[in-house]
Amino acid sequence: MSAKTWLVLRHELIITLTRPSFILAALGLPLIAGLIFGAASWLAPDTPAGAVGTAAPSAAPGLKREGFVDYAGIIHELPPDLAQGMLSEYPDEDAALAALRAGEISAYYVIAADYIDSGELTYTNPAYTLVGTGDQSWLMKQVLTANLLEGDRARLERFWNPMNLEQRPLQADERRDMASPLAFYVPYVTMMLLYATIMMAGSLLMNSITTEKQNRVLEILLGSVHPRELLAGKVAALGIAGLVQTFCWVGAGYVLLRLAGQRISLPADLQLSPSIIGWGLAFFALGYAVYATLMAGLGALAPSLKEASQGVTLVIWPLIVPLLFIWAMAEQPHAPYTVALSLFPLTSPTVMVLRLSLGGVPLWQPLLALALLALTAVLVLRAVARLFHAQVLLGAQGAITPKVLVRALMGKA
Amino acid sequence: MNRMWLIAWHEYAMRVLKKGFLLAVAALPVFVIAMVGLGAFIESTERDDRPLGYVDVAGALGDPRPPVAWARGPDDVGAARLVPMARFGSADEALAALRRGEIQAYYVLAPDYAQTRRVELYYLKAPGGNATRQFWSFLQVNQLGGLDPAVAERATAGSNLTVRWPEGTPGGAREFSPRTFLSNFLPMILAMANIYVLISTSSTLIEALVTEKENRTIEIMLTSVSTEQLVIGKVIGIVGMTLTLLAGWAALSVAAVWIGGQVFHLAILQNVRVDGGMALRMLVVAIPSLVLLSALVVALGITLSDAHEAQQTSGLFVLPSVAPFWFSMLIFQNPASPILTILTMVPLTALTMLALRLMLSAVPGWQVAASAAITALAAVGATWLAARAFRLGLLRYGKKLSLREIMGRSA
Repeated sequence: MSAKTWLVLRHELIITLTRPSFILAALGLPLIAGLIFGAASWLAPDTPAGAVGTAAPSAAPGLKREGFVDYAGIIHELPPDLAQGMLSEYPDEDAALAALRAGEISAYYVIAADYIDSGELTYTNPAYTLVGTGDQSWLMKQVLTANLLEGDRARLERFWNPMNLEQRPLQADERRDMASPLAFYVPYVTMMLLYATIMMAGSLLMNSITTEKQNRVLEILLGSVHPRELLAGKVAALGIAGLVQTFCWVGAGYVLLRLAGQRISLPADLQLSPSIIGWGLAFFALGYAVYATLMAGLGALAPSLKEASQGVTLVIWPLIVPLLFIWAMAEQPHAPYTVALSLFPLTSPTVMVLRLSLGGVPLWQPLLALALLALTAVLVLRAVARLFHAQVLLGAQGAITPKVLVRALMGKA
Repeated sequence: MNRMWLIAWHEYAMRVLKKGFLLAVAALPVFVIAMVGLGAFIESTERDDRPLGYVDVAGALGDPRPPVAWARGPDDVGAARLVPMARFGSADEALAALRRGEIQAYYVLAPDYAQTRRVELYYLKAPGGNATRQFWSFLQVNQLGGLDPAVAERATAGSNLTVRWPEGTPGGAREFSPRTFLSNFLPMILAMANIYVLISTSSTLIEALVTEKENRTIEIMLTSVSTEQLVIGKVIGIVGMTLTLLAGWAALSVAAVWIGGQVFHLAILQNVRVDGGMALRMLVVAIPSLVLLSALVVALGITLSDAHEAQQTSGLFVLPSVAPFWFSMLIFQNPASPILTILTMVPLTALTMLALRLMLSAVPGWQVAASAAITALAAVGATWLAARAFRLGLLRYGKKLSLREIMGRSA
């Protein structure tokens, strides 16, 4: 690294890290999030322990009184362990509705006369919400099944639990078990961190160049520094600033979770091996170099921050698309389309890290992806350095369109 | 008055009668359809319609009944998809069929199944969750040998559950079933569309107004219209543009639902019913919210001195619209919390908060009415503020107006 690059790096880093807007974004946002989080926790009522997921009616502490209207004549007996009056029969819907309005019951069921054929069961419950809170219909399901099976307890027991399943895969299954939340969250968090850091640092770089271009500081700088030295210094400094911001946010998130009493207890079988961290850093460094340089190119091309911001959409699309399909890709990390995206240089920084954190990737694939990414980084750096000459930096370009961007990168701007 | 409508029409036509607007109308639905299509494609690559095999050496199932399609609850939008069952005399036969690709997996009932209920599942590639659910119901229905077949099938399939709120519930009568699944998300879809419009248009609109001010077009216009006519005309034009955009999306959504349900026979898009009462509750708050936001956009565009600043400030609108999402957990846990009522009344958070509450729980009618009234008052106030800021800031190019100056008596 030349002395001038080092000088640019140091200057850019000090300016960025001491800027009030950076400090506000790095520390202020987690603080605001903490305050909101605290307010929401403080306002939320405590949920009684054991209120959810209790199968036996008599053991469910939050059970509410309900009624039913049985037009099909199916219910002859109620579970013996159900307390008296917890499920009351009404002759018709009007009587049940009157009881509901009088507050005697919290909800009621109507079993259709042709229930055996249609299966129609209507549950009138004013406390029901779209996410299923206030739903106690599992109790009616048990009662109906027990009555349809004529109260035969042995048969009922066999019916509720007809098999103890043991899985015998005949070959290693490459699909992930997405039933485990960890299988989703580990790659998801890795990918989001990478995306956020690249975006934050890249945006800082683009803003810095556009502003310096607008206020003509760049003219003075280019009088004594080579464009490539300037670009390299800025890319490195703002990459470090982006990492600092990410660490502040991750740290704040961890502290908030600890304060909320939810310790991050990682299961024993979860191992984030040093090799994955190493791969992650390598893909991050090169991915950042590609995207930050492209952003710098945008900053150089655009006449003002407005046009530069509009142009960002063109550049970040390859980063956004994998985010939309992260679930499908995490479930099938070795499907052809996932492999293709993990090798393609503009998507490999996120998709390959996702695949590596899931495991089972042949060594040649990350190596090839890294080589392609490094080649792209060099090519993009050269193309963007070409943009850093006075004509482009000082000339007035219009809006950034795909055509303008491609022509500029091809050296035809 | 005519001139005000002329300005409104000009503002509307300038933004709507352009290729870019048509693209904006088409872009979101095309994007959503592309995402859904890609999701469906990925789903179809995983779908396996080959039979499920089973081996019952001990004859525990006798002459088995076929599996039963399970009934649908309020959130089961897709119908059960059953695959054929293939019985094999031995595990070797089933294994050979699996290796030939004739079946997707096979289950082996242990010789002591009647006592232990032990079942082994063999596969090369794990079958989906539906396969296990189907085999589970297959075993269930075959535990009910002595029962009438119709009763056995009903016990296994379960109930087609429809949940209702009775008349007189604070949120009005409402139904939760597969056919109302989409309409229950209607408030959220409307709020999200509103946030999308805000994000995509507010900064452009503010910048356009700042530019008009910077290039002195406004001075020329003011030789023939009053400041109030100009500001109200612009607000009407922007509201009209947003409503046209939303109407365009609504029309495309209706077309997509019809095509999906009637042409492609997608279960989720069949018999879709829109709850008129809920749509009305959303609209009475959505329309004043739109007017309020348009007036604030005009006020900011007039108040600010340069386009760069305008772009940074437009984020101020988005934050209050998104903030209610942070309180989603509170809506599940304590729908009657005072903080939710307050946020439903605060004009800039009202629309999103109301959408979330309407979708997830009941909202008393008085709160909807109060929210609509407060937001409408705020919209009138913001329009007045915009006109006042405009009068004050007319000749002050390059200098910001402070709120104190706008509210003060010096105007």
